[in-house]
Amino acid sequence: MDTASRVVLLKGAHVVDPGQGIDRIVDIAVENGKIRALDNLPANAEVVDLTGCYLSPGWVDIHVHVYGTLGFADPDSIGVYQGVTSYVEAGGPGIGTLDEFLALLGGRTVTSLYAGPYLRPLGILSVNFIEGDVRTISNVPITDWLDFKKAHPGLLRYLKVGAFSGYGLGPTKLAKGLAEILGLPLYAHIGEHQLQPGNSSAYEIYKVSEAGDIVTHIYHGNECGILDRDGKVLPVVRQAKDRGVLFDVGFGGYNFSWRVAEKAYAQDFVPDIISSDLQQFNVAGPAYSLANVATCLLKLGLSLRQVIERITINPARALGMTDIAGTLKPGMPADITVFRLESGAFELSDTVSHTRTFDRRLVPTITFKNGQRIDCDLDRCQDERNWLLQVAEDHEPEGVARLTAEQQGFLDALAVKLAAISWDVTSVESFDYAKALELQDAFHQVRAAQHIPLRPALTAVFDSFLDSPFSIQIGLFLMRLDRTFALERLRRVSGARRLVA
Amino acid sequence: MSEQQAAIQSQTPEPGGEIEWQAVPEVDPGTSEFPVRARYGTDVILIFRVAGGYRGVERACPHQKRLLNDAILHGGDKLIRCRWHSYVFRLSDGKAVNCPGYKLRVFDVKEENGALFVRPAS
Repeated sequence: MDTASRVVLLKGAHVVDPGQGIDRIVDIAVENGKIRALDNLPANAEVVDLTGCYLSPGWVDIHVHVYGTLGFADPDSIGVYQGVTSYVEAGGPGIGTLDEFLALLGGRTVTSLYAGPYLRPLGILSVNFIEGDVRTISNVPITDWLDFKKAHPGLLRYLKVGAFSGYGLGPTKLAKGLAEILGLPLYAHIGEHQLQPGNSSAYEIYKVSEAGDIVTHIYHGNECGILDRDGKVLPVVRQAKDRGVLFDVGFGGYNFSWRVAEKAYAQDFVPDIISSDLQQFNVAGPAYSLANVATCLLKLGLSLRQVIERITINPARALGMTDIAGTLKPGMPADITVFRLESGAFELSDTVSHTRTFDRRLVPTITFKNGQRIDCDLDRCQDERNWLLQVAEDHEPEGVARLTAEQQGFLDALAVKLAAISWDVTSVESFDYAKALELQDAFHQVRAAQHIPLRPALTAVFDSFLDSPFSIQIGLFLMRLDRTFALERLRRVSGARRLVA
Repeated sequence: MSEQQAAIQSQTPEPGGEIEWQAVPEVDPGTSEFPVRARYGTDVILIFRVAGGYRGVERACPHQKRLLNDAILHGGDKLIRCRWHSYVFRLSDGKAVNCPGYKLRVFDVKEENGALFVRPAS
C-alpha cells in the first residue's frame, strides 16, 4: 500500500506510544507519508483493520552493524523487515571511511540509516582485533570531522569508542573530547574486556561520561561489568546513571548475560534504551532481531509499555531525533510498527548459551516507513548470503558480467598498483593497521588517476570477488584476500575488457 | 617417549609418504549418533556425518573454544558454523570463511568394513 497521496486509517489496534502517553485502542491516520490528525477524515479513506494487533511508533535501533566487517548484504533485512524504521550503524566507519560508507549505503536502504562513527579513522576493524591500540587513533583529523558533519547534517548521531585500551585511558578521553567538539553524544562500548584480563579501564567511562552520553553492553557478563564481585551494581555506575548518563542494552554477540541482567534488574538497574547490536555474527542466533532482544527485556520484568518506550521515544530523545522519529504525533513521518504479542513457550538465549523460557514474544508483522507498507519477514535476514561473507574463490561472481568498461579499466590499473604491495591475510595475533591504510590509499590513488567515482570503483572490487555485495572498508577487504589470488582475479576480470576491445 | 610425543610421531608421515589412518573403534557408524566424539592420538575430535561420508574436526572452535557438538553444517555440508559467534570454516581444509586468521583442524574420515578410520587432513 502506498499512502503517498491518499488517506489510510489504521483501525482497531492497541496503540502503545509512550512519547504521547497513549496506551489504548485508538485509530491512526496516515496521509502523504505522514501521521494525520483524525478529524475531517475523507469518506473514501482506505481502512486497514488491525483489530487484535498492537501498534507503536516505528522502532529505533541505535546499535546495528550494516557496514564494515560485521555488516550485512541486505541491510533492510534487519530494518523494516523486522519492524525497525530507523537504525544507527554503530562504529563501522570512521572519518577515514565515512565517504565509502555513504557511497555504498547512502540513500540505498528503506530503513532510515544514520551513522555513529568510530573514533578510529577506519572504523571497527574486525571482531578479532583488540580495540584501543593508540596507533590506530593517532593524528585525529578534527577539522575533517567538523567538515564532514557540516556537509551531512543529521547523519552523525553519536561518536563511538571502545572504553578500554592497552594504553591507559587516553582513547576514552580523546573520544569524549572529540564528541564535545562535534556536539554529539559519546557512545561507549564496555564489552570485550575478557580479551584484556586485568585491564579495568572501562570503569573510567562512568566518570568521563556526562548527561546524554550513552554506555552500551550494560548487561555483559565479561570482566569490567556493572556489578561488583558480590553482584551489586557498582557505585560509580549508579552515580553515572544519577548524573544522566544513559544505559543501553546492546545485546551483541558477547554482551548479554541473563545472570548479570537479572541481578541488575533486581536492584532496579534498568536500561534507558534497548538495542540489538545485530551483526553477521549474531543474527543467526542468539540475537536474531530487535524484537527478540526486546522480548528478553519483557522476560526480565519490564512492562510492554516500558519496552516500547525504550525502542521508540527514548532512543529518539537520546539521539536528538524527536522531530523525525519516536512518536505518532500528527505531522511526524508515518513510521509505524504493527506487532503481535504471541503466546507460547519460547526459549531465549543469552550470549553464553544460558537460556530462559518465556510465555510471550514480540512479533512485528507490518512496518510502515514514510507511509509505505512493508510486510515483515523476520527470516529474511537468515539467508546465508546475507550474513556469511564468502569470497568466490572457485568461480567468478555474476557481478563480473556487469562490470563496465570504466570499471574494468580501473581494476586493470588497480592490479598494477597492488602488484607493488605485499600483504598477508589478517592474522588473529596481530593486525597490520598501517598495511590496511596502505591498501586503502592505493585504491584511492588509482581511483583518482582513473577519474572514476567512488561507488563504481568500490562495487567493481566487490563484484569481482563476492557473489553477494557487502559494504566493507576497502582497505580491510583487500587485506583479507589472499594476495596472489586477488591479483590473478583482478587481472582476469580486467583482461576480459582488453579481449572484448 | 611421552604419550603425546608418540601420538605426534604416529601422525608424522615418512618422507614422501602419507599420514597413516588410525582406527576409531569406539565409534560404530551403524549405531552412533553423529556428531560423535572420537580420539586421534591424544586429540579429542568430533566426527560429523556429511553428504558423501564423514568429516572430522577438532572438538572446539578455535575462536573461544566452545564445543562444536551442536555446530551447524552449511553449503551442502562443505562449511561448519560454530553456534556461539557464527564463525564459519571450510570442512575441506579448515580455512576460515568469515573470520580471517583462524583455522580449524579438520580430519579425513573413511569407513571400511563397518569401521571408521581417521587421519589429519592434508
